[in-house]
Amino acid sequence: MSHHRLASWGPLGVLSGAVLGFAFWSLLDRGVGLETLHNKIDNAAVELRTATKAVQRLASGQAWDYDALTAASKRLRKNAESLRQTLLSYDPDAELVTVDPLAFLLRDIDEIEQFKTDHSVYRNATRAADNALRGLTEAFETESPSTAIDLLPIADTIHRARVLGGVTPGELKEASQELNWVLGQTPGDSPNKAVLASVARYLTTIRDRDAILETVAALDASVAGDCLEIALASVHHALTERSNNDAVRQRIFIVLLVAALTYGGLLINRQRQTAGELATLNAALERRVSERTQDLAAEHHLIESLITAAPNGVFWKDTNGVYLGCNRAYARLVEFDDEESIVGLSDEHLPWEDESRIKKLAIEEELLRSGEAVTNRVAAKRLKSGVQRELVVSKAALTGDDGSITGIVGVYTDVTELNRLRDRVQNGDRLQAVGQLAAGIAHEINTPIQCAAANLTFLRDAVATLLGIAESCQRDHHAEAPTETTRPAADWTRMLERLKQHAPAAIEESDVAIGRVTEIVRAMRVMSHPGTAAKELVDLNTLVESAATISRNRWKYTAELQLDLDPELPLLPVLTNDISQLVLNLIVNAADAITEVRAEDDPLGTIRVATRVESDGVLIEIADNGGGMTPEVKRRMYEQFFTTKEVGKGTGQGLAISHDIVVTKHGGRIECDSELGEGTTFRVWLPMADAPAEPESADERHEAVDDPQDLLAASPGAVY
Amino acid sequence: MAAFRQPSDRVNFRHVASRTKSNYRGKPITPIEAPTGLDPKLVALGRRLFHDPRLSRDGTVSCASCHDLSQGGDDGQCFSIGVDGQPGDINAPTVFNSALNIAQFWDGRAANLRQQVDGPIHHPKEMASDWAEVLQRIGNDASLTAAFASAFGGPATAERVRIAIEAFETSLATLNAPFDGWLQGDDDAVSKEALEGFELFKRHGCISCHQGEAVGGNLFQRLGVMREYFVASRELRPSDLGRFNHTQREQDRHVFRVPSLRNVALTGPYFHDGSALNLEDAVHVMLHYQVGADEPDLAEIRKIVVFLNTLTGDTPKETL
Repeated sequence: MSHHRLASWGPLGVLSGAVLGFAFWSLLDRGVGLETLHNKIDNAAVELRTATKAVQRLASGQAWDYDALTAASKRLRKNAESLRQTLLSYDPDAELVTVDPLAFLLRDIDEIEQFKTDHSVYRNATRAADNALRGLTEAFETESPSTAIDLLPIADTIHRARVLGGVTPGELKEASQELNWVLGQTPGDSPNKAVLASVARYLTTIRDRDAILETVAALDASVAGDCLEIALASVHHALTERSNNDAVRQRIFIVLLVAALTYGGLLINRQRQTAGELATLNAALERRVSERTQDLAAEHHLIESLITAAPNGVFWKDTNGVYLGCNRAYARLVEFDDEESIVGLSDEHLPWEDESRIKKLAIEEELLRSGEAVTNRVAAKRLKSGVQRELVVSKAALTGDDGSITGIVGVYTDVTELNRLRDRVQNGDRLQAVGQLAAGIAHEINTPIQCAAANLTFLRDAVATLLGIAESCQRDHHAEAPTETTRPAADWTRMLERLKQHAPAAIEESDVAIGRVTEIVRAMRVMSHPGTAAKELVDLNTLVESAATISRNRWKYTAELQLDLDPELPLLPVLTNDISQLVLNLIVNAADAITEVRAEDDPLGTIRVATRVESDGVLIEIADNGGGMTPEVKRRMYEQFFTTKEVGKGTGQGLAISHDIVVTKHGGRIECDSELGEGTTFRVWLPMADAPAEPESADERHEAVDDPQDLLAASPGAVY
Repeated sequence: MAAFRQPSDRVNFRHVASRTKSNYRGKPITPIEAPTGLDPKLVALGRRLFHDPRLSRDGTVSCASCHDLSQGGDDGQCFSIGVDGQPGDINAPTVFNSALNIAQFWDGRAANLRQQVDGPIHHPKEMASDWAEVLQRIGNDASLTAAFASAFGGPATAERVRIAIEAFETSLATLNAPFDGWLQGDDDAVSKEALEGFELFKRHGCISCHQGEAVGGNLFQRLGVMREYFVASRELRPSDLGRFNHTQREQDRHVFRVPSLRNVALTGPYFHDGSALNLEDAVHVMLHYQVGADEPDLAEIRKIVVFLNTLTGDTPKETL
């Protein structure tokens, strides 16, 4: 089915991509080019301003050498070249750009070079002419004072001309005419005539270059900037116009868009139909899996209650009397907060009242010596705090492989409360406990029963209908013609068709549901008498593959499941059902974790299940890329009844049971890495060698229950 | 990781001319500054190529043939000799300090040193070669190919040859001229006579064009400002048209790049036509045609020549 999904989304994806790409192309490519062009023109404008400034400094005499202007001119030329490249890449045929910013720049560069050429001569000629005229006016003061006076305005003009902008071309022309007149008036034998002639020549040289006076004005920075802006606007305008001419492109775009939307709509419609069919199939499968899951959860709830959470205090110690471990009930009994703290201590460290301790130790010493178990001995023990406990005590020696005694295991059943209750009401509380249990069982049985009931209702109606048809047939058989009240034959046909279609399924479902109930009841019986299910050598890869198969409809719409199984995996001694359930739990959890965060259109998530050999055992790794867990959730995940799932979806048992299966039953380890938003990875390590499994044998328990004297004092677990 | 960056084909040399300079004695001439930012590998490769006669068609002419680094960066000829022993039609300008020029060649037809490289390689009277031939010869030389790979991370291309030669030529700055020493405050670096020559150089207006770091080179000027240089009696060669040949603009007729006067004592004969065999002649011509001095004084010319001799700097190290 997932292949089908991919196959139908593929072309749509390609088409959408193409349409989007086309849209971007038709809307954006012009703008990008223009931005580059704009930047380059800006750079050129900045450089042009630098050059203009250099020209003005030279014109005003603030600068003398041409190095700064030359450097600016070189940079400007480089800018122009870069601009040329951009324009070419943009408008290769040069048909769009009517106002060419490049031509404008090149003209300015030429003007700058021309300015240097002319300015160097102009500057020297004005200086030389100025110096010569100063000498001449002095000389003429004695030779011809009137000539000296005539020369004064000329000298003034030329002196002012030494700074560009100090004179106008008109003034220079006037000075030249004046000088020629003076030259004509001066007699040929005058010693100053040659000097006057040279001044006239300088003046001609200056006037030949008076164009630079305008160059300076023309290079005005703001004018330059404006010109470049106008040029840019022109380029912009030309290109926009060309874009507008591409309206055909836009029409194609719209046609493609409409086509894509229509195609997409059809696909989505088909997708919905398919999804509907799938959902129906799925619902049935899911119901079965959830029923199975709930059964398993209930089963383990019972076991958990019996062994771990039983109110019986259990402890075990070595031959030196040092505690190796105990359960929570025992820890509470001796007023410790948790069971771990007791490990490594001996009875001297526990708050027994002296007499109680001495008795306890004496019994244990005797046990170690003789190896004979002590069963259901009733004892009252006092603690230093003054609390007195009535206990039923069973103790046995722990033996190693060679039969030697390695320690003691003890079971203390606190019957203080029970005895008290027995004194008060003989039966009330116990019935209440049974009632509570029954409520739990009722819940388990309810679902299949409801299913069966619903089907039964349907079948009842079906039978009524059939009877109706039968009667009608009978009547028709007797009557010559169909009566008015008779339903048309087509109606009957349709109803029969419907019955034919649904009735077998209803019967089948009822059958299955009642089978479930039977199974639950049987499972309860198994629970209450858990046999010594032996570990068998099993190929874990097969277990993983089976679990993956069974759970398939829980993950396949959410995630892709990758199996990375080590083909070299050795056979492992495990409890097959437990490990199957463990893997199933973890896969279903992974799928749920992905479903929680995944939107409908997101790509499938990934669940990766891997197996490999690791340090005398086998590692099963189940990783998902779902939402991960918060530290709070991570801390509590192994707790019973703790669940993050919606009411009715999770029992809060799965991980608690998993933990129990791995650690308690197989002596393995279960670890979890979870990063919020990244995903979760569970690693389950199971040892190659058979680990100590059930902490107590069923025989011993029977022994305890069977002892008639202490029936009521025994564990309430007996009521199961 | 290699510690240095491989230069790309878009390498740009930041040249000293673009830097702001301090005002040396308030003079329009400033000391030569050492070029910076050059990649030693590129310079070394450029040096090899500069001296490699395989760049010419018949394998007889290298860049160094006409730009002899031991002779002031030119060849001491009126016109240089190209392939097949043919004389060219213009005087070889010096390669020293050429990065400071506004443009390359007497007529400024190449905007920069990189563009300049193509000129002599293709010129029928100079190297008369072409890129395909040059690149093939480089490709046949394993050692040279390795040098390209080391400098550029790839084989030789026309642009890479240009870049390497540009890098080498940019490195050819002649530092420590006595006059630069004087500009930087060493009063004993030049003689009194040289300083008198400098004063005359300014008074006659030579400084109008020959200014800046290179004492010229940074502008174009018409040959014959105050008096017509190309008179009817003189035989006119195509190269005499100067920048006009490049721009076809009337105002560029007989306009040439003003040559740098750095190391001018070593770079005779002078002018684009090599017509002045010694400095005295050259100064005389300049005073007469360019600044319009009527009767140049020989004693003054001698002092100016003494000044010009103080512009000779150190031949760049490791270039011989």
